[in-house]
Amino acid sequence: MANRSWLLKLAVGGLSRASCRYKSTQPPAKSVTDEQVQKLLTRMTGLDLDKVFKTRREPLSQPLYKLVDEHQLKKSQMETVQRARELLKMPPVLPQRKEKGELIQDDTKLAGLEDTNVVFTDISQTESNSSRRIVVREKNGNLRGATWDERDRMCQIYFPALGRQLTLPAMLQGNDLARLLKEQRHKEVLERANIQCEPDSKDYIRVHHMVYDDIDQRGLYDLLRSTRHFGGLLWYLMTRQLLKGILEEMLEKNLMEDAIDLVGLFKLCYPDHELSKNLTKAGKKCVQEFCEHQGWTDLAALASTKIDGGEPRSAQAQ
Amino acid sequence: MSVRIRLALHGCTNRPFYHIVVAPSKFKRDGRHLEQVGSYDPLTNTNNEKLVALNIERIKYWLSVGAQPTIPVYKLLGMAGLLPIHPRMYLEAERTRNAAATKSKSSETESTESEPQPKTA
Repeated sequence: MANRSWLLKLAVGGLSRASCRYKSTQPPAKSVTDEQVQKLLTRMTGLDLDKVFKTRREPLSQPLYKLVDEHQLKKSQMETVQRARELLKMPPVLPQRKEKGELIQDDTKLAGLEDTNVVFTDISQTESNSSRRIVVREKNGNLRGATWDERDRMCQIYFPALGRQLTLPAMLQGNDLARLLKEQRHKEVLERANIQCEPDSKDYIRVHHMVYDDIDQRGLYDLLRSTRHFGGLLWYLMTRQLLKGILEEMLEKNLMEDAIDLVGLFKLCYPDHELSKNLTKAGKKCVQEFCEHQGWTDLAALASTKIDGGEPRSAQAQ
Repeated sequence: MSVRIRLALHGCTNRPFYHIVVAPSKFKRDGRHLEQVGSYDPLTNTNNEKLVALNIERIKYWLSVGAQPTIPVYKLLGMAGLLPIHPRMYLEAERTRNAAATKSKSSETESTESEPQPKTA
Protein backbone atom coordinates (compact mmCIF):
# COMPACT_ATOMS: atom_id res chain seq x y z
CA MET A 1 0.00 0.00 0.00
CA ALA A 2 1.45 3.33 -1.02
CA ASN A 3 1.91 5.61 2.00
CA ARG A 4 -0.39 8.57 1.81
CA SER A 5 0.25 11.52 4.03
CA TRP A 6 -2.82 13.24 5.44
CA LEU A 7 -2.24 16.62 3.85
CA LEU A 8 -5.44 18.55 4.48
CA LYS A 9 -6.79 19.34 7.94
CA LEU A 10 -10.50 18.84 8.33
CA ALA A 11 -12.34 22.14 8.49
CA VAL A 12 -14.14 22.71 11.79
CA GLY A 13 -17.90 22.57 11.55
CA GLY A 14 -18.06 20.76 8.26
CA LEU A 15 -17.10 22.91 5.33
CA SER A 16 -17.34 19.92 3.03
CA ARG A 17 -14.08 19.12 1.36
CA ALA A 18 -16.17 17.27 -1.14
CA SER A 19 -17.10 20.65 -2.58
CA CYS A 20 -13.51 21.35 -3.62
CA ARG A 21 -12.71 17.79 -4.74
CA TYR A 22 -15.87 17.18 -6.68
CA LYS A 23 -15.47 17.21 -10.42
CA SER A 24 -18.78 18.18 -11.89
CA THR A 25 -19.87 15.39 -14.18
CA GLN A 26 -23.21 14.43 -15.56
CA PRO A 27 -25.43 12.45 -13.18
CA PRO A 28 -25.15 8.65 -13.51
CA ALA A 29 -27.44 6.85 -15.92
CA LYS A 30 -28.57 4.39 -13.26
CA SER A 31 -29.82 5.18 -9.78
CA VAL A 32 -28.18 3.62 -6.72
CA THR A 33 -31.27 1.45 -6.13
CA ASP A 34 -31.00 -0.17 -9.58
CA GLU A 35 -30.79 -3.96 -9.36
CA GLN A 36 -27.62 -4.30 -11.40
CA VAL A 37 -25.90 -1.46 -9.49
CA GLN A 38 -26.87 -3.02 -6.17
CA LYS A 39 -25.60 -6.41 -7.33
CA LEU A 40 -22.18 -4.96 -8.19
CA LEU A 41 -21.97 -2.90 -4.98
CA THR A 42 -22.88 -5.96 -2.88
CA ARG A 43 -20.27 -8.06 -4.64
CA MET A 44 -17.55 -5.46 -4.13
CA THR A 45 -18.50 -5.08 -0.44
CA GLY A 46 -17.52 -8.68 0.11
CA LEU A 47 -18.51 -10.85 3.04
CA ASP A 48 -15.90 -11.43 5.72
CA LEU A 49 -17.76 -13.33 8.44
CA ASP A 50 -15.00 -12.64 10.97
CA LYS A 51 -15.48 -8.92 10.44
CA VAL A 52 -19.28 -8.92 10.32
CA PHE A 53 -19.56 -11.06 13.47
CA LYS A 54 -16.58 -9.51 15.19
CA THR A 55 -16.29 -10.14 18.95
CA ARG A 56 -18.01 -7.41 20.87
CA ARG A 57 -18.86 -6.69 24.46
CA GLU A 58 -22.15 -8.13 25.60
CA PRO A 59 -23.60 -9.01 29.00
CA LEU A 60 -21.98 -12.15 30.36
CA SER A 61 -23.88 -15.35 29.79
CA GLN A 62 -23.25 -19.07 29.93
CA PRO A 63 -21.70 -20.35 26.70
CA LEU A 64 -23.97 -22.60 24.69
CA TYR A 65 -22.59 -25.85 23.27
CA LYS A 66 -24.46 -27.84 20.64
CA LEU A 67 -23.72 -31.31 19.34
CA VAL A 68 -24.67 -31.33 15.68
CA ASP A 69 -24.12 -33.54 12.69
CA GLU A 70 -22.64 -32.40 9.41
CA HIS A 71 -25.99 -31.59 7.83
CA GLN A 72 -27.04 -29.38 10.76
CA LEU A 73 -23.62 -27.70 10.82
CA LYS A 74 -23.89 -26.83 7.15
CA LYS A 75 -27.43 -25.51 7.68
CA SER A 76 -26.35 -23.27 10.55
CA GLN A 77 -23.42 -22.01 8.47
CA MET A 78 -25.79 -21.08 5.65
CA GLU A 79 -28.07 -19.33 8.15
CA THR A 80 -25.06 -17.37 9.41
CA VAL A 81 -24.19 -16.28 5.88
CA GLN A 82 -27.81 -15.22 5.36
CA ARG A 83 -27.77 -13.20 8.58
CA ALA A 84 -24.51 -11.57 7.50
CA ARG A 85 -26.05 -10.62 4.14
CA GLU A 86 -28.93 -8.93 6.01
CA LEU A 87 -26.47 -6.99 8.15
CA LEU A 88 -24.57 -5.86 5.06
CA LYS A 89 -27.60 -4.29 3.35
CA MET A 90 -26.80 -0.75 2.26
CA PRO A 91 -28.56 2.15 4.03
CA PRO A 92 -30.42 4.50 1.65
CA VAL A 93 -28.49 7.06 -0.39
CA LEU A 94 -30.74 10.07 -0.92
CA PRO A 95 -30.36 13.66 -2.09
CA GLN A 96 -30.62 16.35 0.59
CA ARG A 97 -34.21 17.15 1.52
CA LYS A 98 -35.63 20.49 0.45
CA GLU A 99 -36.20 23.06 3.21
CA LYS A 100 -39.63 23.27 4.76
CA GLY A 101 -41.28 26.10 6.71
CA GLU A 102 -43.85 27.44 4.27
CA LEU A 103 -46.30 30.12 5.49
CA ILE A 104 -49.79 28.80 6.24
CA GLN A 105 -51.56 31.84 7.66
CA ASP A 106 -50.54 35.48 7.77
CA ASP A 107 -52.03 36.92 11.00
CA THR A 108 -50.06 39.91 12.19
CA LYS A 109 -52.98 41.07 14.40
CA LEU A 110 -51.85 38.35 16.81
CA ALA A 111 -48.38 39.88 17.19
CA GLY A 112 -47.58 40.42 20.87
CA LEU A 113 -49.82 37.63 22.15
CA GLU A 114 -46.86 35.36 22.85
CA ASP A 115 -43.26 36.42 23.34
CA THR A 116 -41.90 33.14 21.94
CA ASN A 117 -42.75 30.72 19.13
CA VAL A 118 -45.32 28.04 19.98
CA VAL A 119 -44.77 24.66 18.29
CA PHE A 120 -47.81 22.42 17.77
CA THR A 121 -47.22 18.74 17.08
CA ASP A 122 -49.90 16.31 15.98
CA ILE A 123 -49.42 13.21 18.14
CA SER A 124 -52.08 11.09 16.40
CA GLN A 125 -51.08 7.45 16.61
CA THR A 126 -52.03 6.67 13.02
CA GLU A 127 -49.61 9.21 11.52
CA SER A 128 -46.02 8.41 10.65
CA ASN A 129 -43.20 10.79 11.58
CA SER A 130 -42.58 11.83 7.99
CA SER A 131 -46.17 12.95 7.42
CA ARG A 132 -46.88 14.23 10.92
CA ARG A 133 -48.33 17.77 10.94
CA ILE A 134 -46.06 20.10 12.89
CA VAL A 135 -46.78 23.84 12.76
CA VAL A 136 -45.29 26.87 14.48
CA ARG A 137 -47.16 30.03 15.55
CA GLU A 138 -44.52 32.69 15.52
CA LYS A 139 -44.17 35.77 17.74
CA ASN A 140 -45.39 38.02 14.93
CA GLY A 141 -48.61 36.02 14.67
CA ASN A 142 -47.83 34.07 11.49
CA LEU A 143 -48.58 30.37 11.30
CA ARG A 144 -46.02 28.36 9.32
CA GLY A 145 -44.97 24.78 8.81
CA ALA A 146 -42.06 23.60 10.96
CA THR A 147 -38.53 23.47 9.54
CA TRP A 148 -36.75 20.13 9.30
CA ASP A 149 -34.73 20.89 12.43
CA GLU A 150 -37.94 21.56 14.39
CA ARG A 151 -39.62 18.49 12.90
CA ASP A 152 -36.76 16.17 13.86
CA ARG A 153 -36.71 17.56 17.39
CA MET A 154 -40.47 17.26 17.93
CA CYS A 155 -40.59 13.72 16.60
CA GLN A 156 -37.71 12.77 18.86
CA ILE A 157 -39.44 14.36 21.91
CA TYR A 158 -42.82 12.70 21.41
CA PHE A 159 -41.79 9.55 19.53
CA PRO A 160 -38.20 8.90 20.56
CA ALA A 161 -36.11 6.65 18.33
CA LEU A 162 -33.75 4.28 20.12
CA GLY A 163 -30.21 5.60 20.41
CA ARG A 164 -31.04 9.04 19.04
CA GLN A 165 -30.25 12.26 20.90
CA LEU A 166 -32.23 15.49 20.82
CA THR A 167 -29.21 17.53 19.80
CA LEU A 168 -26.50 16.50 17.35
CA PRO A 169 -23.82 14.51 19.24
CA ALA A 170 -20.42 16.17 19.57
CA MET A 171 -18.74 13.22 17.83
CA LEU A 172 -20.44 14.15 14.57
CA GLN A 173 -19.15 17.70 14.37
CA GLY A 174 -16.09 19.87 14.61
CA ASN A 175 -12.90 18.86 16.39
CA ASP A 176 -14.33 15.66 17.88
CA LEU A 177 -15.16 14.36 14.43
CA ALA A 178 -11.68 15.27 13.21
CA ARG A 179 -10.10 13.41 16.13
CA LEU A 180 -12.17 10.27 15.52
CA LEU A 181 -11.22 10.23 11.86
CA LYS A 182 -7.57 10.63 12.82
CA GLU A 183 -7.97 7.58 15.07
CA GLN A 184 -9.44 5.66 12.09
CA ARG A 185 -12.82 5.19 13.76
CA HIS A 186 -14.71 5.88 10.54
CA LYS A 187 -17.11 2.98 10.95
CA GLU A 188 -18.20 4.16 14.42
CA VAL A 189 -18.88 7.65 13.09
CA LEU A 190 -20.98 6.34 10.22
CA GLU A 191 -22.93 4.00 12.49
CA ARG A 192 -23.69 6.87 14.86
CA ALA A 193 -24.71 9.14 11.99
CA ASN A 194 -27.04 6.43 10.69
CA ILE A 195 -28.75 6.17 14.07
CA GLN A 196 -28.89 9.90 14.76
CA CYS A 197 -29.85 11.48 11.44
CA GLU A 198 -32.36 10.84 8.69
CA PRO A 199 -30.71 9.68 5.42
CA ASP A 200 -31.71 12.82 3.54
CA SER A 201 -30.77 15.30 6.27
CA LYS A 202 -27.99 17.86 5.93
CA ASP A 203 -25.92 16.46 8.83
CA TYR A 204 -26.10 12.85 7.63
CA ILE A 205 -24.84 13.82 4.18
CA ARG A 206 -22.16 16.13 5.59
CA VAL A 207 -20.77 13.47 7.96
CA HIS A 208 -20.85 10.74 5.33
CA HIS A 209 -19.08 12.90 2.76
CA MET A 210 -16.41 13.93 5.26
CA VAL A 211 -15.76 10.30 6.19
CA TYR A 212 -15.66 9.15 2.57
CA ASP A 213 -13.31 12.01 1.64
CA ASP A 214 -10.97 11.18 4.49
CA ILE A 215 -10.95 7.49 3.54
CA ASP A 216 -10.22 8.30 -0.07
CA GLN A 217 -7.42 10.73 0.75
CA ARG A 218 -5.73 8.34 3.17
CA GLY A 219 -6.44 5.15 1.24
CA LEU A 220 -8.27 3.52 4.16
CA TYR A 221 -10.86 1.70 2.06
CA ASP A 222 -10.34 -1.53 3.94
CA LEU A 223 -11.86 -0.01 7.09
CA LEU A 224 -15.27 -0.10 5.44
CA ARG A 225 -14.83 -3.22 3.34
CA SER A 226 -17.32 -5.95 4.38
CA THR A 227 -19.50 -3.40 6.20
CA ARG A 228 -22.78 -1.94 5.06
CA HIS A 229 -21.13 1.42 4.40
CA PHE A 230 -18.88 0.20 1.60
CA GLY A 231 -21.61 0.48 -1.01
CA GLY A 232 -22.21 4.11 -0.09
CA LEU A 233 -18.48 4.83 -0.29
CA LEU A 234 -18.25 3.24 -3.74
CA TRP A 235 -21.25 5.18 -4.98
CA TYR A 236 -19.80 8.43 -3.66
CA LEU A 237 -16.48 7.80 -5.40
CA MET A 238 -18.21 6.70 -8.61
CA THR A 239 -20.45 9.76 -8.87
CA ARG A 240 -17.47 12.01 -8.30
CA GLN A 241 -15.15 10.02 -10.57
CA LEU A 242 -12.59 9.56 -7.78
CA LEU A 243 -11.69 6.04 -8.83
CA LYS A 244 -7.88 6.09 -8.93
CA GLY A 245 -7.31 5.50 -5.22
CA ILE A 246 -9.72 2.66 -4.82
CA LEU A 247 -8.62 0.96 -8.02
CA GLU A 248 -5.00 1.15 -6.89
CA GLU A 249 -5.92 -0.39 -3.55
CA MET A 250 -7.87 -3.20 -5.21
CA LEU A 251 -4.95 -4.00 -7.53
CA GLU A 252 -2.42 -3.94 -4.71
CA LYS A 253 -4.59 -6.25 -2.64
CA ASN A 254 -5.05 -8.63 -5.59
CA LEU A 255 -8.81 -8.07 -5.71
CA MET A 256 -9.03 -8.41 -9.48
CA GLU A 257 -12.70 -9.39 -9.52
CA ASP A 258 -13.54 -6.28 -7.51
CA ALA A 259 -11.54 -4.16 -9.94
CA ILE A 260 -13.43 -5.68 -12.88
CA ASP A 261 -16.72 -4.95 -11.09
CA LEU A 262 -15.64 -1.34 -10.51
CA VAL A 263 -14.98 -0.82 -14.21
CA GLY A 264 -18.27 -2.60 -14.93
CA LEU A 265 -20.06 -0.20 -12.57
CA PHE A 266 -18.49 2.75 -14.35
CA LYS A 267 -19.73 1.46 -17.72
CA LEU A 268 -23.19 0.93 -16.21
CA CYS A 269 -23.39 4.42 -14.72
CA TYR A 270 -21.83 6.34 -17.59
CA PRO A 271 -22.59 4.37 -20.77
CA ASP A 272 -22.37 7.50 -22.93
CA HIS A 273 -18.98 8.55 -21.58
CA GLU A 274 -16.25 8.37 -24.23
CA LEU A 275 -14.27 6.16 -21.87
CA SER A 276 -17.07 3.58 -21.70
CA LYS A 277 -17.38 3.55 -25.45
CA ASN A 278 -13.65 2.94 -25.89
CA LEU A 279 -13.51 -0.04 -23.49
CA THR A 280 -13.65 -3.08 -25.73
CA LYS A 281 -11.84 -5.78 -23.76
CA ALA A 282 -13.55 -7.96 -21.20
CA GLY A 283 -12.42 -9.50 -17.93
CA LYS A 284 -9.10 -8.61 -16.35
CA LYS A 285 -7.71 -6.86 -19.42
CA CYS A 286 -10.58 -4.37 -19.19
CA VAL A 287 -9.05 -2.97 -16.01
CA GLN A 288 -5.70 -2.40 -17.69
CA GLU A 289 -7.45 -0.76 -20.64
CA PHE A 290 -9.44 1.51 -18.28
CA CYS A 291 -6.24 2.66 -16.55
CA GLU A 292 -4.49 3.27 -19.87
CA HIS A 293 -7.38 5.39 -21.17
CA GLN A 294 -7.44 7.40 -17.93
CA GLY A 295 -3.75 8.07 -18.24
CA TRP A 296 -2.81 6.19 -15.07
CA THR A 297 0.25 4.45 -16.48
CA ASP A 298 1.50 3.17 -13.12
CA LEU A 299 -1.86 1.52 -12.44
CA ALA A 300 -2.02 0.12 -15.96
CA ALA A 301 1.42 -1.47 -15.42
CA LEU A 302 0.26 -2.88 -12.08
CA ALA A 303 -2.92 -4.25 -13.67
CA SER A 304 -0.95 -5.96 -16.44
CA THR A 305 1.13 -7.86 -13.85
CA LYS A 306 -2.05 -9.03 -12.10
CA ILE A 307 -3.83 -10.34 -15.17
CA ASP A 308 -2.59 -13.85 -14.63
CA GLY A 309 -2.88 -13.77 -10.83
CA GLY A 310 -5.53 -12.46 -8.44
CA GLU A 311 -7.42 -14.08 -5.57
CA PRO A 312 -10.79 -15.49 -6.47
CA ARG A 313 -13.67 -14.02 -4.54
CA SER A 314 -15.04 -16.33 -1.79
CA ALA A 315 -18.14 -18.33 -2.67
CA GLN A 316 -20.03 -16.66 0.19
CA ALA A 317 -19.51 -13.20 -1.24
CA GLN A 318 -21.16 -14.07 -4.58
CA MET B 1 -72.71 18.76 33.23
CA SER B 2 -70.97 18.49 29.92
CA VAL B 3 -67.81 16.96 28.56
CA ARG B 4 -64.97 19.45 28.36
CA ILE B 5 -61.56 19.56 26.79
CA ARG B 6 -59.48 21.33 29.40
CA LEU B 7 -56.07 21.73 30.97
CA ALA B 8 -55.15 19.55 33.95
CA LEU B 9 -52.23 20.94 35.95
CA HIS B 10 -49.39 18.54 36.59
CA GLY B 11 -45.68 19.10 37.05
CA CYS B 12 -44.40 20.25 40.44
CA THR B 13 -43.78 23.38 42.49
CA ASN B 14 -42.62 26.29 40.33
CA ARG B 15 -42.76 24.01 37.30
CA PRO B 16 -46.26 23.82 35.79
CA PHE B 17 -47.04 21.35 33.01
CA TYR B 18 -50.51 20.83 31.61
CA HIS B 19 -52.15 17.74 30.20
CA ILE B 20 -54.92 18.48 27.72
CA VAL B 21 -57.67 16.09 28.83
CA VAL B 22 -61.24 15.25 27.96
CA ALA B 23 -63.35 15.03 31.10
CA PRO B 24 -66.88 15.84 32.30
CA SER B 25 -66.91 19.14 34.18
CA LYS B 26 -67.88 17.40 37.42
CA PHE B 27 -64.58 15.44 37.59
CA LYS B 28 -61.75 17.09 39.50
CA ARG B 29 -59.39 19.27 37.51
CA ASP B 30 -56.36 16.98 37.90
CA GLY B 31 -58.29 13.80 38.63
CA ARG B 32 -60.15 11.24 36.64
CA HIS B 33 -60.58 11.91 32.93
CA LEU B 34 -61.97 10.13 29.90
CA GLU B 35 -58.87 10.54 27.75
CA GLN B 36 -55.68 12.56 27.51
CA VAL B 37 -55.43 14.23 24.11
CA GLY B 38 -52.33 16.32 24.44
CA SER B 39 -49.97 18.35 26.56
CA TYR B 40 -48.94 21.97 26.95
CA ASP B 41 -45.72 23.25 28.44
CA PRO B 42 -46.15 26.91 29.44
CA LEU B 43 -42.43 27.42 30.08
CA THR B 44 -40.07 28.27 27.21
CA ASN B 45 -37.42 25.69 26.32
CA THR B 46 -33.76 26.20 25.43
CA ASN B 47 -34.71 26.85 21.79
CA ASN B 48 -37.05 29.66 22.87
CA GLU B 49 -40.21 27.72 22.08
CA LYS B 50 -43.34 26.58 23.90
CA LEU B 51 -44.37 23.03 23.06
CA VAL B 52 -47.92 21.84 22.59
CA ALA B 53 -48.82 18.29 21.62
CA LEU B 54 -52.31 17.70 20.20
CA ASN B 55 -53.83 14.37 19.27
CA ILE B 56 -55.76 15.98 16.39
CA GLU B 57 -57.56 12.78 15.45
CA ARG B 58 -59.04 12.31 18.92
CA ILE B 59 -59.71 16.04 19.50
CA LYS B 60 -61.70 16.14 16.27
CA TYR B 61 -63.70 13.13 17.42
CA TRP B 62 -64.52 14.65 20.81
CA LEU B 63 -65.47 18.00 19.21
CA SER B 64 -67.72 16.15 16.83
CA VAL B 65 -69.63 14.52 19.71
CA GLY B 66 -70.08 17.83 21.50
CA ALA B 67 -67.15 18.25 23.88
CA GLN B 68 -66.60 21.92 24.79
CA PRO B 69 -63.04 23.21 24.96
CA THR B 70 -62.33 25.63 27.79
CA ILE B 71 -61.02 29.07 26.86
CA PRO B 72 -57.30 28.26 27.33
CA VAL B 73 -57.68 25.10 25.23
CA TYR B 74 -59.74 27.00 22.66
CA LYS B 75 -56.90 29.53 22.42
CA LEU B 76 -54.35 26.77 21.89
CA LEU B 77 -56.47 25.14 19.20
CA GLY B 78 -56.95 28.55 17.60
CA MET B 79 -53.22 29.21 17.57
CA ALA B 80 -52.67 25.77 16.05
CA GLY B 81 -55.07 26.57 13.23
CA LEU B 82 -57.61 23.89 14.14
CA LEU B 83 -60.31 26.32 15.29
CA PRO B 84 -60.86 30.02 14.51
CA ILE B 85 -58.91 32.51 16.60
CA HIS B 86 -60.78 33.53 19.78
CA PRO B 87 -61.68 37.26 19.69
CA ARG B 88 -60.08 37.75 23.10
CA MET B 89 -56.74 36.78 21.59
CA TYR B 90 -56.84 39.70 19.19
CA LEU B 91 -57.84 41.93 22.09
CA GLU B 92 -55.04 40.70 24.36
CA ALA B 93 -52.50 40.97 21.57
CA GLU B 94 -53.52 44.56 20.84
CA ARG B 95 -53.42 45.47 24.51
CA THR B 96 -49.94 43.96 24.89
CA ARG B 97 -48.73 45.88 21.84
CA ASN B 98 -50.24 49.15 23.11
CA ALA B 99 -48.75 48.64 26.56
CA ALA B 100 -45.34 47.97 25.03
CA ALA B 101 -45.64 51.06 22.82
CA THR B 102 -46.67 53.28 25.77
CA LYS B 103 -43.83 51.92 27.90
CA SER B 104 -41.24 52.61 25.22
CA LYS B 105 -42.67 56.12 24.67
CA SER B 106 -42.56 56.92 28.39
CA SER B 107 -39.00 55.65 28.69
CA GLU B 108 -38.05 57.86 25.73
CA THR B 109 -39.61 60.97 27.31
CA GLU B 110 -37.89 60.17 30.62
CA SER B 111 -34.54 60.00 28.95
CA THR B 112 -35.10 63.33 27.11
CA GLU B 113 -36.28 65.02 30.36
CA SER B 114 -33.20 63.85 32.27
CA GLU B 115 -30.91 65.56 29.72
CA PRO B 116 -30.17 69.19 30.70
CA GLN B 117 -32.37 71.50 28.59
CA PRO B 118 -30.48 74.36 26.77
CA LYS B 119 -31.23 77.84 28.25
CA THR B 120 -33.32 79.98 25.96
CA ALA B 121 -32.33 83.64 25.71
